[in-house]
Amino acid sequence: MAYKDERVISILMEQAEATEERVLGYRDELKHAVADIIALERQNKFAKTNIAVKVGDIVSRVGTYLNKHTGTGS
Amino acid sequence: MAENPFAGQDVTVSDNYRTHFETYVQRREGKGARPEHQPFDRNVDFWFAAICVAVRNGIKPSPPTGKTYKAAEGVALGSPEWRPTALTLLAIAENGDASIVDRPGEMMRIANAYAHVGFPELLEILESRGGDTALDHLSEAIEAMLTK
Amino acid sequence: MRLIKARFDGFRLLDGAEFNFSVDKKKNVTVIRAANESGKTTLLSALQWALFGDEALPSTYTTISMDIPEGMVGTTTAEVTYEVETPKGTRRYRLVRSLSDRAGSSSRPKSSVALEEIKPTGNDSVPNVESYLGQHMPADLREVFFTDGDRALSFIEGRRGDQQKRVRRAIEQLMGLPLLEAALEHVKKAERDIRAKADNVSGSQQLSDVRAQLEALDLAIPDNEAKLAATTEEIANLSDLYSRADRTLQDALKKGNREEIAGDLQRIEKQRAASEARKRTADLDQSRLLSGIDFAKGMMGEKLKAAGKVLDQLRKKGQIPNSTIPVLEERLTHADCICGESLDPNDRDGARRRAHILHLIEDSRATDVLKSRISTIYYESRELTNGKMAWHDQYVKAYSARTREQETYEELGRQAAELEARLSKIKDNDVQSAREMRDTYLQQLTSKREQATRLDVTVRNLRQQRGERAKEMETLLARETKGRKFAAELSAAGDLRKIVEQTLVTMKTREVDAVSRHMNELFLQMIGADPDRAMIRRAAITTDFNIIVYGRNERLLDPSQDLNGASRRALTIAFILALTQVSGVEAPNVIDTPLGMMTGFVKREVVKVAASSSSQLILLLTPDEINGCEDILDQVAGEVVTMTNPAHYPVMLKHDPGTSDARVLICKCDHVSSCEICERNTPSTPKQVGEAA
Repeated sequence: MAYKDERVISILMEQAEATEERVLGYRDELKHAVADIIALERQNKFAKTNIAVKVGDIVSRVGTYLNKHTGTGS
Repeated sequence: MAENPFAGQDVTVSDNYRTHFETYVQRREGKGARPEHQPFDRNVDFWFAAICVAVRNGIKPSPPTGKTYKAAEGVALGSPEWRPTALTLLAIAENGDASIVDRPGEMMRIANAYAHVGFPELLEILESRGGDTALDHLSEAIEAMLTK
Repeated sequence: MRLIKARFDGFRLLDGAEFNFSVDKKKNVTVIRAANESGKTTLLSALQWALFGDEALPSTYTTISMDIPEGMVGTTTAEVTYEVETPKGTRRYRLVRSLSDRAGSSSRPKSSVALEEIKPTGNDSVPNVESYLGQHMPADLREVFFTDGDRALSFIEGRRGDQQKRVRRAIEQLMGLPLLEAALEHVKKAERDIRAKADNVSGSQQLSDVRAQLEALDLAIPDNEAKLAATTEEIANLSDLYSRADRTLQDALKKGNREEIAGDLQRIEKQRAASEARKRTADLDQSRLLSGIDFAKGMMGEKLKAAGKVLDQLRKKGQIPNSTIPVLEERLTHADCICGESLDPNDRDGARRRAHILHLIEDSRATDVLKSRISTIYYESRELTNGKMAWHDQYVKAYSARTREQETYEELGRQAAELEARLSKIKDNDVQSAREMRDTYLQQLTSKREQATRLDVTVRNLRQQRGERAKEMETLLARETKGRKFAAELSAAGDLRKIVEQTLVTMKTREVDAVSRHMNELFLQMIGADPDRAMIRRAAITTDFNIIVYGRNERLLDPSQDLNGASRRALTIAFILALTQVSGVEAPNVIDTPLGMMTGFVKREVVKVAASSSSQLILLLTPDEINGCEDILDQVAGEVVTMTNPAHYPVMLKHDPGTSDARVLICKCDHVSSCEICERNTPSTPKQVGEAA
């Protein structure tokens, strides 16, 4: 694969790690989301898809996780 | 020091002082350093100076409360070599018991607590420099403290 | 990607031209030797066309042979075999690109392309070829990996703003930043959508207002950022114009009878710059005192003493030092004890004493790790607890050095002002207009800098407002049950946005810094013993993407003015190599005429450094460029061929090639040999071949 992908990913993960753990497991959720978004962007470079909607779905997935676990003692 | 016992620990600082690190520390990414205005090379130097001020002024240490952030990693304390030793000695003096050397986390808590109470003092000096440079104003204040 | 071989038919001068590229890791260089006008640049274009398609060539570029008569159709074919490393091992591909064009037609038709994977079981044709190619060798990277010595110079020559843009583009593409930028845009859009939905569902006026404010801020921030970027670019260009105008002024001054004053002024300015650098060093020295050991000793003295006491007590109790074991062990190797008594094992008393010492050793061993740590601290603490406190003396020394330097600097400033005043009194139109020009630029520069500061403040303020409004919105949403879901989504979107934003910032600063450091290393290696080296200290890429060079005393040099041709080329090649290396992209570096204007040491070093910094290096070299590097090429070149243009007979070629076709001939001659086809006319070939450019 071209580009320094692992480098970009590792910095993204580093930044995710530095984000506040709003609820238990939230950081991991963010990491998955970031990885998914980057994968989508990469695919989108070659085959245009409705990426805006897909990214929106990922964001709301993380939001749902956060909402579900907020106030449940974590 | 042969090894840096603080390597696995974090330099934790109240979020209130975050912007001051940006103001007084030279090593900020993307900006030209001016030692005259930014007298500290690294975040740990600024933090260490806060500890020194607190110790010199005999202030009772108190750990940071409220929102905090990691200003540096303990690894950064490894240089200069004497620094981990100084922090260890501070912990021994504070604790009165040398066995604390075995508990880096506790030693770091002591250091962070001193820094936390030292910052207001240090900033009081820096922020009252008027038209003077930070370097000159702070150096003079330290000079006065040391000859007291 | 590694190129294995290529064949071109009907591509301008290249017809039936086959090239094998070295895939030997130890001899990773392929040399294509060719005099000027013998197809080097054509080969560079042909390779790019094959790999990147029609967009790699200017639209007016005709590929077909010049021998084809007007109106007749010619066919161009390129065939490239390459391999790519994948997690599942090496895969090998064969690419064929072809087009047919009518000679004399105004536009070039589109090419068609086929790609097949070469497998032991037979070749497997690949659909959607362009997308595969894009993966194997991204088009974004074309200009970095395929370049010529002249074009590379545009990274450090021309308008400053343009240079920055080129450097920035090269870096951004190579680091894959556009991908992150796209991701950021999409996350931001998702954030806006959530806000809109939340607003609709809630129907609260307050929420609606906050959302409207956020939308406005989201528009204003990039707008102001763009303005700031544009202003920064203008500042770069104006600084350039200013320094040029200043140089013109200096020249104009030198011309007249004011030469002497101008000379004095220049000397003073030089001294002033040196004084400024020394002042900075003195500042740094004094600032270091605030982090130094004597500072700690002075400030923490009381606590250090208290700790010292604790440790001393332990020592008195015999728990320190912890070095008894080695001492005791060492003593056992002797026949007598420190006290003079015998330790002879054959003697009764001696044996008893030995047993006692062994017992002591066992006891000491039982001392746990803790004691050993405390002992270490005890010994290390001496540096801090003993000795004189020297902070005051050091401070006085540093302070007076700074003051002294400040005075020198100011005095030089006064002298410079006086000389300037004297100069301005001398009437001279040249000088007058040059000065006006310079002052105009200075004025513009000052106003632009002020503008940039204002914009910077605005952008910061807008970002801060944005943060506050976003928080407010979350708070408002959290109040209502329906809104909580959206509040959570907004937090998530905000966190994701920050992650991507911070990554972009980190990539830009950290990675640019890495390229910069690497470029500096390669560059200094290349110009190691060159006379230029004496004045060049280091090269760097600034955060605003300028390639700069520092001379003595950290004086800033202008690469396009202050470096000789060889160093300029070395610098750009160092940049390209650093960029490709830091990016981690494995692809061939194909460089046409990289060694132009270089001689001796620099030329040899550039070849060595380039060979060791590339995964695969393909050099298109003239015999002149090869001259002096033969022994290095012996070591690093795995493949060498020679291209000859038959049209060079009889002026430059020794033997009649037997054809007058407009197509180059390829022979297996390497960088030191020649044959009937390639032997050139000048005596002692190819050493002093006078190439007609």
